[in-house]
Amino acid sequence: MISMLVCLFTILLFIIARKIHLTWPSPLLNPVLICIALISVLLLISGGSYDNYFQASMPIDWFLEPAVVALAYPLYQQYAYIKPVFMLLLVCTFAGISCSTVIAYTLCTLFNANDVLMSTMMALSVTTPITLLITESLGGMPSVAAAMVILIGVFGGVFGMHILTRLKITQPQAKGIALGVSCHAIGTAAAMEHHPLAGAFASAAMILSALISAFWVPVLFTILNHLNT
Amino acid sequence: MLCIVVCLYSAKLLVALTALNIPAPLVGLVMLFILLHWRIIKPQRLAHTSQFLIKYLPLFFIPVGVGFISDLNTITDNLLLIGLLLTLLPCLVLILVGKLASKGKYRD
Repeated sequence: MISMLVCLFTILLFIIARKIHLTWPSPLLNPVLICIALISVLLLISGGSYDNYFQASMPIDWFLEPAVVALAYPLYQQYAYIKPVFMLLLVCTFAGISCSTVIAYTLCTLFNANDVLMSTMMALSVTTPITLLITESLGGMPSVAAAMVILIGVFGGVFGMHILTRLKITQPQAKGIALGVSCHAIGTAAAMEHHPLAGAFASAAMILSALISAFWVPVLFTILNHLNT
Repeated sequence: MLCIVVCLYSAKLLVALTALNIPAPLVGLVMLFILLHWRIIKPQRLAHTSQFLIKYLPLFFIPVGVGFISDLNTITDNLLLIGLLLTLLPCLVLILVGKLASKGKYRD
């Protein structure tokens, strides 16, 4: 009974946040960000425990894994776009992910971050559901990584296009790839708004970087750990 | 929905059997993509369900996302590091990938 209420409340909150975001499509009004912030504040104020909330909202959580599998469908649809530039996309996503992981590793080492915190920061250049999976397999804090990824997306949604324009990058396809790799779903939304081609390439780059991250980030993390000791 | 769930659970089985260090849902994604690409599954059959799942994908990670409140101490202890990562990572990755991608030749 309580579980049903908690699920209903979460779903309702998300639907309202989505409506708000559709009315004012600013990256700062990201629906997930609003929902997570509101539920967290409610839990902290009421003194409710997160474990109880998670137990109660399990039915919602169950859908996460099938939804990741379902990403095969847009990838299949965009395959026609990807095929002619597949090598370029591969190089771009590979470079972007490696750059993100190496910088995060270096910064964490400089700040003497502990192992758990370090593992949390390894897979930030990838869409949230994939971050959750990779961070969990590395022994980090999945929810912290998820929050970081969403905030990085918001940053990219707000500043991404300005940065790319400053770099004098003009092709919509290139802008799309950059936004898709660095700023995931929110970056893809910004690319979509800019130009349909940018949107298609951003979405393709985002899904490709999800796949590459899953294979490459754990390996790269092990390599960096070896180099460091 | 059935195809998706079957892919997910066969992927879980495969990962468990081979002790792969890859998240099962991603293996499921690859499996489903191959099934679609080889036309073993008709794409039209999946269109509705997958569009629904992807539309609500953000909702599905709210339960885990709220979990950061259990790690609030770690976050407040490392605010500078986290702030740096939040700004440096997207900037540098955008610059690198943007520059790389702009070398490409695209058909309009």
